[in-house]
Amino acid sequence: MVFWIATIIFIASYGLIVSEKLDKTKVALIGAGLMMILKIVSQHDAFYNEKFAIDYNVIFLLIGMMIIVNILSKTGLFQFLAVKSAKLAKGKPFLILIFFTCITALLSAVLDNVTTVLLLVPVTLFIADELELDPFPFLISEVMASNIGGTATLIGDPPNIMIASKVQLTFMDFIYHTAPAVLFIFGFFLLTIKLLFGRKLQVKEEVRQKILAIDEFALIKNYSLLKKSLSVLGMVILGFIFHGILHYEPATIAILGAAVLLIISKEDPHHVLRELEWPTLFFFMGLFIIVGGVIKVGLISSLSESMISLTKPSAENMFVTAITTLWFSAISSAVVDNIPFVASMIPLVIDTAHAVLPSGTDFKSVVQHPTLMPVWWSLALGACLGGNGSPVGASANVITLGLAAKAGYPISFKKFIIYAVPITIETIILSTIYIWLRYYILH
Amino acid sequence: MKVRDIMDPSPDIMRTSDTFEHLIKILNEVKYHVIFVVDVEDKLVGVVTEGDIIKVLIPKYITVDASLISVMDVNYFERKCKECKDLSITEIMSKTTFSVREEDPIIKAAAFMVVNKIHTIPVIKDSKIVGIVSRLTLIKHITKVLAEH
Repeated sequence: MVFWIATIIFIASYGLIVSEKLDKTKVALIGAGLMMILKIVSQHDAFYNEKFAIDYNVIFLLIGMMIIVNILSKTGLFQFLAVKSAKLAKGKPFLILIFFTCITALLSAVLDNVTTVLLLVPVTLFIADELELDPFPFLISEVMASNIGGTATLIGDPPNIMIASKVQLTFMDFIYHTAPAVLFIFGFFLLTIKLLFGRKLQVKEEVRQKILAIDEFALIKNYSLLKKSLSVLGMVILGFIFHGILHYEPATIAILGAAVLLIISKEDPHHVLRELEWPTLFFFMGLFIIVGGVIKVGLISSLSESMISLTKPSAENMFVTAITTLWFSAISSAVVDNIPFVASMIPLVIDTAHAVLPSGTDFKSVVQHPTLMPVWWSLALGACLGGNGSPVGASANVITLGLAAKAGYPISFKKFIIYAVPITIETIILSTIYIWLRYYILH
Repeated sequence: MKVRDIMDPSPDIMRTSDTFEHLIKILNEVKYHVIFVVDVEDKLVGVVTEGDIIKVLIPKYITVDASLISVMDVNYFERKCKECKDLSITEIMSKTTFSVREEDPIIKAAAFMVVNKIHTIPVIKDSKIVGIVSRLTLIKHITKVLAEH
């Protein structure tokens, strides 16, 4: 009975999230509330249990990074970088497109994707307007680059943060495993952009001169704040690089960095904290409790049994499981928000690992078993890159399309799909090649 | 008294087929800083104010990131003026959301203007515009009322 009630709450919550009939944060919180009031998970389990509770490592890492990005975004750095790169490109539109795409990917890898596009889209529209060009090639390339870039690091995209936290992976693990995949994919992505838009982007000499005349330094609003923010961000990234060696969780480093920046920047914490994405944070908390409920009643275990009978993983080889996970994650993440998907996939993969792999001395030796690792990287690549597959696949897409419409350049669902779906399929095929070559041929 | 008794029966009007260029040409003769837009059936569909005219020349991304104002091209305004020359009036106008009828009492027109912070209000009969009441019209009426008193 309890099994079915929990399953119904889980399916109904996910159904409502997909249908967008009710705000996703409200859905997650009501689902979590029901799981607790019906005693499927007790409040104690939901808050403190290692297996069923809210993953505060994820929550506090997100809070810490949101605070740092919030303060950094007030300096004008993003706009400066965009205009500076346009000038370095000597006003040549295609080169500007490539530079903007690279900047978006790079910033998305170290900062939150939504903030990156939120700050880069207006300046992109400005440059396209000055060049008297249609901004579409720039916008679509940037939004896709944001999702691709975010895949590269532990802090780049929420699925990576969630996987890293549960599987106890370090920042450097992602640098060694997903970052090379992203570099490989990004190279092909730039080539695709060249094929699609290379010839369309031509402007007259006098138009190019307008770009060269812009004073990019006028965009820096506060030099002192910029120095402080960049120093703290640099220290935080250094902290991430060494967190595995120093035995600190990434959230510890992010929160300390945020606190230091709040103090030295003299920003009012009321203002900064008010601007954090609280709905996203509560969405995470609610989801963790819902997923905790279905883990407790055994739904996830029975799903993992189906996964085992379908993909037949063994202690020696999980190639089929990895590739199935990659494609299934990509398709699901294009349709559903990738956060609830990854939240349920992680315990499913852990259950599969416990069932198939020899039980090690501790949890870490099982979840980080060399045979299982390609499955985790496939989940990360599929969930993050799959977000490019539809206008609602990732928050960055929703924000970019919203801003473009507000600025008078609406991009239709159809137009987005025509470009985004083939490129997403391309990136997933490249990920398949990467997983196959790196972990099964060249290992 | 009724709106009919004080309204100006000849408001400035343009058609939906008109362009930005037409609009600018007649601007000098406009009485109330406002032009009403009517469709082929003479039905009122919109209104153009001075604010609407300026707004069409300013890029909308500025409302999302105002810091970009500091780096805009010095000749941007002139370039946009030329680009907008053939822009349809329907892309410049705002939709009319408030109107009064001829037989409405004057207080209704006055209250509408205060509550909605507008300076003029169109007078409608069978969806067609038949007049205009402005704040100045109301002031003139006050003078008249006091004189009678």
